[in-house]
Amino acid sequence: MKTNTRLIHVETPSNPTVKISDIAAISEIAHANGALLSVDNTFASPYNQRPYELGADLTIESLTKYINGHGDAMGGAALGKKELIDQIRSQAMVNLGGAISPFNAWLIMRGAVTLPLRMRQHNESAQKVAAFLQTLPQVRFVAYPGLYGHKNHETAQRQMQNGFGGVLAFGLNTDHDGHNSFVSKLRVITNAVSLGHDESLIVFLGENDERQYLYGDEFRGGFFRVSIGLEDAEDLISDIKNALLAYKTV
Amino acid sequence: MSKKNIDGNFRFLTRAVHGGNEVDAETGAIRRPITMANSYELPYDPSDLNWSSADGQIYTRNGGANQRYLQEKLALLHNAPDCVALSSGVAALSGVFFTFLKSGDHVVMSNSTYIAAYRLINELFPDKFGVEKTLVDSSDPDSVRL
Ligand SMILES: Cc1ncc(COP(=O)(O)O)c(C=O)c1O
Repeated sequence: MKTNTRLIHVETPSNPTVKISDIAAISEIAHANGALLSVDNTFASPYNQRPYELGADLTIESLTKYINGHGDAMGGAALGKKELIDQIRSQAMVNLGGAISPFNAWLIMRGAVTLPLRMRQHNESAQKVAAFLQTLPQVRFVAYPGLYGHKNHETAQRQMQNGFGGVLAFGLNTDHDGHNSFVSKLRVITNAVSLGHDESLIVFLGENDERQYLYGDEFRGGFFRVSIGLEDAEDLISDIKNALLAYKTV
Repeated sequence: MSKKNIDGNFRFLTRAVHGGNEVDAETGAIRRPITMANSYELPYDPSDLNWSSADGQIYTRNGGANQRYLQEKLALLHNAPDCVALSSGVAALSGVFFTFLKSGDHVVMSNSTYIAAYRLINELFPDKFGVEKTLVDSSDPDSVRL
């Protein structure tokens, strides 16, 4: 923190490493130094975590993800006190032009009705898949805030009241091609970016990713970010098992 | 016509279902409609309107009906007093950064974020506006404090 620090921005759980940051503790640091805290809450959704209640000045959501939930509309939101939100409305919407289309707003409003029901399933299935991955000898590491072994599991338990979300990361004991081959053998989990959709999605982040240097050691050999969808968790587990039998490894 | 007036006293599932919805005043339909119009009718004398205002209904970029309903629902789900809905998550991120940062300001950001937040704070804002940044491991509050 410096005398000119105006803003602290964190994401928790974070993309793509599902790192957990303590919102209440960081909001105290921000406010003691006259700075604002913004928290990107996209991976948690308001069902699991509400940063405003924990002291964040600004909460950011990509509505594209869990809140719409159906993978068919883009949107975003910022939440907080009126005096802050009014400034964003005037600058980012009216003058920068980032307004949402009425049709997308309607779609997202419709999707959001089932947010709590969907989040329960995302939370439950991701916990099951993460626990399953942990048992496999082919798996190099699994990162999921719901696992006891996660570095900040206790903080996650404190601030995520209903569950830990549907996103996890893991790596295989294989090389670059081995990771891509594994994805090519999946039938249920789709090879695509984004998260929070009804269908499960996987993306391979290679060992040459420009931000590898910022991540923990375990992430440096290349890894997957997986968004666990609303399919039956047993089918997702079978899909992973079958791909591990069929993929070309070193 | 009865008003639902769903507020924070209701539990999360109830807010998710009813928040932001009311009976449509014109038709009596129990769901608010999609309003695709770009413009809203002006008053008899519009000459003293603030064309940059986001309060009144002037033009959909200054605030549309469906945007307003969605904001009501999201504010209820977050127990937050206010919400602005924008065109994407990145529009919200860049909107927050643009609104609250100016030249010479310093930002402390987590070293694990969505790539556009990284691009904006690590490169674009420093290069274009002279904003300073420090990336930290925010999973450790002490590294934020430093
Ligand atoms: C944490 C997080 N924030 C923001 C975004 C950006 O949202 P959008 O794609 O709606 O612009 C994403 C993903 O795209 C994300 O994962």
